[in-house]
Amino acid sequence: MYKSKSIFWLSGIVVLVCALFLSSEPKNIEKEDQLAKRQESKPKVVDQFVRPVLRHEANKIRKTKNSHTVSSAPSKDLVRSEIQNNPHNVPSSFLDFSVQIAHKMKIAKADQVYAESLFAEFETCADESELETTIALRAYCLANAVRLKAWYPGLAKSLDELLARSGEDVLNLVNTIRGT
Amino acid sequence: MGLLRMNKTLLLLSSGVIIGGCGLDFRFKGKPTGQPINLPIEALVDKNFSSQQISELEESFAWANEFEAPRTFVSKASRWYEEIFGSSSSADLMVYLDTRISYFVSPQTTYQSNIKLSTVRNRQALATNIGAAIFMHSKANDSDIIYEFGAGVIDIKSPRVGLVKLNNAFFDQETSQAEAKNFRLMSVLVHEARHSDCTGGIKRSEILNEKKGVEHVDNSCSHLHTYCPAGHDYAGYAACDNHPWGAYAVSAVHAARIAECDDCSEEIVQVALATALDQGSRVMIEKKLFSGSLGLPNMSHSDIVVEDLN
Repeated sequence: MYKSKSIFWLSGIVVLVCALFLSSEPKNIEKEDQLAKRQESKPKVVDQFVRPVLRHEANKIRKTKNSHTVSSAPSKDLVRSEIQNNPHNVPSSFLDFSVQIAHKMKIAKADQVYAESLFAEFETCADESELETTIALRAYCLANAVRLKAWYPGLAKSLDELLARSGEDVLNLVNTIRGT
Repeated sequence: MGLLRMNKTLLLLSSGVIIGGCGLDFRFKGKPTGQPINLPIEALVDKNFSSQQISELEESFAWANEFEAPRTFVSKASRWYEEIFGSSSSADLMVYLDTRISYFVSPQTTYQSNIKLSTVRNRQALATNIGAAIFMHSKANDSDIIYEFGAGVIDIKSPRVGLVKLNNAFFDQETSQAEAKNFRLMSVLVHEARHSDCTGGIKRSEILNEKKGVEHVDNSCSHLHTYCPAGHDYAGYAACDNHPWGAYAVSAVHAARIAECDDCSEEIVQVALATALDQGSRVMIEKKLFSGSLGLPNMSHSDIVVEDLN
């Protein structure tokens, strides 16, 4: 009797461990979705409980290569090849990139540490010497850095420095379309 | 989405065949007819749209009809929203579209045998204002062009006829959020609608340029695009505007205002921001234009021919 109970409990634990193992590798984008949904649906809990969890998971996401903003930004060559096929529409790689950024910005809104890390990525993306992409894309990254600073005023100094070293054409475009 | 100098880049039409071969048949046809659709504008859709495409179009329009753009503005671009669309109200955006788009041609529709489209280089375009393109060609060839639509015909004597072809790519745009897709579809239509305006009338010199197949000097009739200059990221492609308040400027203003929406989803804000920056980067006179030094947007239309050759 005692032995059969032990086997019952043991098999239960094995099943539980297997279930946890199988569910532990969702795609980053799904994780970010879940995080964002959690953040939107339970604003009061975020401060006490979810925020540390968000931060922990955000750190994990940050460490994975796929979530890196700069590496996923479309190159100038890719954008030009899309324009060659279809000169008149917004390049689809740019729109896809903007959807990825939307996920990241949702997390950044609730997590200052993540926001600071994302800001650093936008700095790289906006910098001509760091990444060969289009002016519109660099302006897009700069505009998002401006938005992060609006949420976290502590980023003001970093933003000033970024604005000071940004190219004139990028600055003009951001000033016109979004405002700095 | 774009409208180029038609004779060189978009389509070649054989108007002689239209009038000579099929003209008599068409003259006795009645008003154009379409299949049932529930849109807040009075546009007709041709019979070849699938039910899925019809419902996507309905959904996008329903979204746009209920979406109120922010009433305040932040950027230099979005401050022009009211000047272009009348107000920040969705009802006025619908009036803007209703005035400029009257017929939707489906991706499945092949052009009638009377209209020869020998080249469509821009195969992946989301949409094309073919009414404006046909108008320009008819002017250059001094001929009347009639387009068969449903049980009737459309006499294309003006770009304001509002004949817009939607391509498969228009409906195939992938996004994880329906609202962002609705915005993307609407942004394309806002852009295409501007091609229906012949601002200030068409100059005789531009009709000649169209006929010769050379670059237009004044692109304000049908708001034709121009080749991006050397040094531009899109250099060598007909993906820029060099005249005031063209289709790129109009779609940039529309998207810039939506990107400033505080209570919208982050996805729609980001897609709108990317759209506004891309479209704004194609406006060669962007700094002067949006600062106001080139004057207010002229959203009027004229069918007159301006005799400028004397």
